[in-house]
Amino acid sequence: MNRHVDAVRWTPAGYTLPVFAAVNPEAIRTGAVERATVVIAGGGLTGLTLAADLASRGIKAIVVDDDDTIGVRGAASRGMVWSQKTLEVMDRLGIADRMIGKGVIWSVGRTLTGNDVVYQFDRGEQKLSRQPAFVNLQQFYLEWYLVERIAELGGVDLRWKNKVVAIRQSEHKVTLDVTADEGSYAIEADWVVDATGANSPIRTLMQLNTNPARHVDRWCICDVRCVDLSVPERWTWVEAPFNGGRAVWQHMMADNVWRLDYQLDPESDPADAADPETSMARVRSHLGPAVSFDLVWTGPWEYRTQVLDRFRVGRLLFAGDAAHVMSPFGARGGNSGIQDADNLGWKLGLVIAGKAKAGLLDTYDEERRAAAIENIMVTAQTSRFLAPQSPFERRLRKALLTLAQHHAFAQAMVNTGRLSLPNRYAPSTVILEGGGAALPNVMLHDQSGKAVGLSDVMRDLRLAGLALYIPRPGHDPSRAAIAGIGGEGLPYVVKTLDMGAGAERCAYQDRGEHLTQLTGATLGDAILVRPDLYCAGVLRAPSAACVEGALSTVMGFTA
Amino acid sequence: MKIRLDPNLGNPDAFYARLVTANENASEEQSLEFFIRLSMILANQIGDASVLQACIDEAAQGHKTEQQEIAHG
Repeated sequence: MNRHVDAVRWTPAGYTLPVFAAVNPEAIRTGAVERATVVIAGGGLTGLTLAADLASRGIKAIVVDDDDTIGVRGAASRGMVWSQKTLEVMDRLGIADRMIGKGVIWSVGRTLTGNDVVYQFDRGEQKLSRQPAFVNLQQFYLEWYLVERIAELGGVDLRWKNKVVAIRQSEHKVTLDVTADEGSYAIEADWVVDATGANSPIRTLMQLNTNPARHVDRWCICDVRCVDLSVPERWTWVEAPFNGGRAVWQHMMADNVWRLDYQLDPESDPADAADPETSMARVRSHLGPAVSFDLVWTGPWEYRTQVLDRFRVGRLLFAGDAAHVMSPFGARGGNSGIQDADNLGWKLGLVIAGKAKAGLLDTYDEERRAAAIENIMVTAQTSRFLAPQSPFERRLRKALLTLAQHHAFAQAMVNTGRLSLPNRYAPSTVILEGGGAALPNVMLHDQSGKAVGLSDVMRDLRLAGLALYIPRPGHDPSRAAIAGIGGEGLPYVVKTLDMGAGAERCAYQDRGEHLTQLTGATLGDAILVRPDLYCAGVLRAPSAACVEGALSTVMGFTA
Repeated sequence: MKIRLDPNLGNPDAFYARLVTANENASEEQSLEFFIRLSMILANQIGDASVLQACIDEAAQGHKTEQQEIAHG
């Protein structure tokens, strides 16, 4: 093995990131065209999540990445708020506990203007998932955990320092020209996923329109290490007195490093924005004279949006920033890339396994493109709130902030970012009545009384969807036929679920009646659960034939 | 969406007088902010997004009329 996994380390001089050995595949020497089922281009957050997802389902993949490390531009933390849905995905993939152990768990957000709190929320209330609402962790940690997990799972050929330089597609295959340190080679793949990020070279080679838009608002991130403070909450200022009345973000991350993000004066010189002295002064004014801190990373940014017209082009699929870019408000960038991978993994797996028609991949485009458009709209509303474009808009916001000090309805309009929630999917060929919402990772109990999460249940099924049938207590004439559906060779199974009504010998018990309350299902109904923990529909008092037909439909099954 | 544009205020003169009274000692700037706050409070009474959109569209007719007047000099 030439894999060389070192650790992420914090030293007083800053972070050192792992460096992986460059991979030079045999095809460079032999000149033979390599064959692959699926190639993932880009070993960033989205590509690595997809690789781990496929590996967890027993699907082999090649990942090519043009770099030899994780992270971007050194220790830029990039994404750092991970949503409950992301943590649930990572729980299924086996690294959520590591993220939670290293990161900062939080659920309270406060929005301030001047010195007053105008709005606060607690996402920890009424929590149904086994995972916390949010964990803050620098993106390079998450990527490192994924790299290590992929090695444990096996089946993924992770090729550092391998760059896609040309792409050709026919009806039956995609051919990639790849360059590595010691030469070039070609791969013929059944499927290629482009997860190479916002500046995707593949997208450029394909000459695809990204519908770009730029905005004038500019910000500067100053990540600082500060051991004197501990505020595991999200604080956002609309108008911070210590930043010239402009917005500021404050988030605590791992290693006592803080993500501080400052909205810049539009008149200021962009070249000076990330200057260390300017940054130090900015942070000093924020934290006050008594608090000591060290600058870890600083960099300016401005937001832009882009979205491809199609996330599937034949045998090529686009995911993460390669497919869509939005402003970072609400942590919708990284989290939506992970949800892309979560949505695509099982569908691609079923198509590769010959259990589903390629058309199932069109539902990836439908669902995740709609999600991207929704995320872009939501983040655009936040950006407009934070950067009023006229004196009147500024006045409108000021009046709202005044009202928000007293009234809940106005507090709800103060928009410093709507934090990432799983997008709801519209009715479609694979989303039936009652479906479309993500189910949280609720706790169930199995027949031995052991607690299991819904994500544990789905992990064990690997490439299968699930119908949870809720038998009527006593004699249920439909039970035997429905419970017998699925199994060997089929991409679906049925399990029985007792919602506390006393049905005997059920596979799972939902003691809190969470799933039934979330879906509206009751005795005699069946809840369809996809491998990505989305509810695909609720079947009302169905016959066995109806359950089998619905499962077959939502999984895109083809015999 | 059809919104009410027929008389619905029990005592229209009294309502007008109340708006005047509420702004009697206010500067133009303060009154502008008063009207912003008022429209937000009223919007929250209505709640229904389609009614609010129809109200916004109706009020925005005023912008168009003004622009036409400017255009026709």
